[in-house]
Amino acid sequence: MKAILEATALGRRFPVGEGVWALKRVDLAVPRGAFVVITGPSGCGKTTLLNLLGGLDRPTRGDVVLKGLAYSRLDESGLARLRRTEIGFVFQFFNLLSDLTAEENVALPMRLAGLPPAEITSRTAALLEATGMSHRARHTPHELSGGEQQRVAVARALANDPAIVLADEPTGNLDSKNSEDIMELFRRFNREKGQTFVVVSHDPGFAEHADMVVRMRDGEVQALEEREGTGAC
Amino acid sequence: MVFVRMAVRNVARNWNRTGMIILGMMVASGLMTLTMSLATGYAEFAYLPYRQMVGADILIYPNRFVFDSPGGEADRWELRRPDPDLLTDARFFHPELARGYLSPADAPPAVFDLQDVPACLGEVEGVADWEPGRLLRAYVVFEDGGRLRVTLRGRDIAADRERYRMPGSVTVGRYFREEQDGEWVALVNEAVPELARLWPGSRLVLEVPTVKGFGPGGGPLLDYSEPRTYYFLVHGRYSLSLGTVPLQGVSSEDRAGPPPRVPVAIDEPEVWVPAGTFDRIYAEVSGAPLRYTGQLGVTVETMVHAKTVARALAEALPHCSVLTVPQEAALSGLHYEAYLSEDGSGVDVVRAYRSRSTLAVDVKRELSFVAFLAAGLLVVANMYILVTQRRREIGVLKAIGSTGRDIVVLILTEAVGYSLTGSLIGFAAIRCLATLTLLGSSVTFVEGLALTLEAAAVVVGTTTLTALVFGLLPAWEAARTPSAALLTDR
Repeated sequence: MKAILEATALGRRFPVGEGVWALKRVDLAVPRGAFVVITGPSGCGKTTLLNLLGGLDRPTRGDVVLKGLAYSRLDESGLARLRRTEIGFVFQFFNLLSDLTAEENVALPMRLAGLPPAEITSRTAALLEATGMSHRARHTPHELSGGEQQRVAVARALANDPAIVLADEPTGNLDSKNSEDIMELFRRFNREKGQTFVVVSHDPGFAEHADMVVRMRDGEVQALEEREGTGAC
Repeated sequence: MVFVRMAVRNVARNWNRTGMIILGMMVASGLMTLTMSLATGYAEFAYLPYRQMVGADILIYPNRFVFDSPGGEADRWELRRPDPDLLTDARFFHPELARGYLSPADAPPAVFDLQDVPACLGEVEGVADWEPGRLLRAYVVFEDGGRLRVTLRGRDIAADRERYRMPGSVTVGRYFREEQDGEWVALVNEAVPELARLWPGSRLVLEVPTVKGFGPGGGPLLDYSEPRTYYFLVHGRYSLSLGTVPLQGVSSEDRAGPPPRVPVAIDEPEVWVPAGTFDRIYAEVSGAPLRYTGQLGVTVETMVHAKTVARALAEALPHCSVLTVPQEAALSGLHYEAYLSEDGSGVDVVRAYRSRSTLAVDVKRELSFVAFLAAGLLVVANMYILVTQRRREIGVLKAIGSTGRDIVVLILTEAVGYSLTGSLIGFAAIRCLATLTLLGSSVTFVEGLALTLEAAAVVVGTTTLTALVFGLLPAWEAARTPSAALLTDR
């Protein structure tokens, strides 16, 4: 299957002291509709890689191409537009906007994209329904449990029907029950909607069902495990 | 538009943050309001009753009097006594001058010859107008034969209305209309019990001694044996209120709570007539137009610069005493005291002079500038807090597709919301405080807190502009920081 996201010779150096290469050199291709899990010990560069794949940070070297569009050719506004329409993010600490209700959080990316209000309303309702959060639509984040907040965050990530969803330790701050629920949610969207996921996680539950597992160490890909029949390359 | 709506919603919903920032803005704008009002309002309104009485902002006497010995230069100074028939407002502010004062030996006579008034008066920057002191000795004759010695004062009606805010609360009846200049109408001081008997519409009989010539000191030589009698219609009564003073002599056993306060007003026995009317009387009693006067009254363009103008005039007129009216009132130590009368049936109000002056400290523009700076720093700090506390939120917004411009719009809209709300509340709070203080106090300078729409516009505008400018810097800095860095902020 054709890759939807490709990283080529990707490296990131942080100007700490004499400079630290958090990511030395990574080549990665994520097939459309794949469920990719990136795993490895703390400090191995997983989150740095995810930030670069999502255009949240600029690489020191190398490039990322999403649906044929190279990040290096985009300015900040172009990158913002790309994040708005083609990439969904799920964070470990949920990162919902505390002043907005659950449905307002989900609707925000659609408002930014300029969707018509009627469509925003119907899609928000559908996403909250799909994530099992319809009954909590009018609640603000501090009135929700961690698991509920993460469900809302997943709904927000899927709001503009992005090409890819990037999740950074999405269960890292949840108990086992909620972790299992979120994992199931991801799997369901991947299975039923064909949504591409790249998940950074220590949780073996994610790796069990992944099409591809990227094992990292010291800023490099140590091993790439592709499951048979997935078509991942 | 999404971000403008979001900003408005953020301001309306996040009460902790909104409350704290608005409180900061309130303090800042309150500080600005207070100092700006004191710097401009104080100069405009403080001692207003005295300025209303003398009809000028600066008084110039054609002689120099000093209250302390000049020390080693004593031989160049001589003791002088004011001519008892030469009326000036120096007598009101400094009654001790009657005992004599030191003056330079080569100082000119104690009157101005209006044909020889220094040309520099109109040339000094900040001087709007000047007029001779129109003051004459006169006697009010009552129907029962009683007589009261008064000062007959000619009033410039236009200046009184425009500059000294008359009638306002000054006149009990009506103030002169400009077309009444030259007519036989008069106002009497309501604070003088004998004059308070004269109601508007009643007849006022005034005897004015004739002027037989001018003495060696320049003062008029009055002939009391052949006074001229004038009949006036009492057009109204005036009252130059000085607020209230505590009633003394009431023991704490006789009362509960704070001592009662008594309203006081300037009690100088005066009769006011229009300037044109005064000039007619003067011409008749002296046989010539007004030529000699014991003082000049100068109107300045703005009282904020009155002291600067007074300094310039003093340099140009080395043998004159040039004092702003607030300086006069402060230097004289003039104040009023109220006592329970001996038989306990009433209240006696007495004018008193402190032995040593309590010089009021004028609030300067410079102080206002420092306060503006402090208030500005408070707004700047607020804006930095507003942004730096929310770097993670900004990171999230960027992650879901907001551009740097969106972030700047969001922060600046919130800044405008906070600063407009905060500064309006701050302004209103200080205004209420000033009003309440005025209602419960006799502190004259508090009247300087009387605020104008112009002050409101400056305070609200400055706060908002500062918030915008200094909100832009952190907002722009956050907007161009990569999301990844913002999201790692705790």
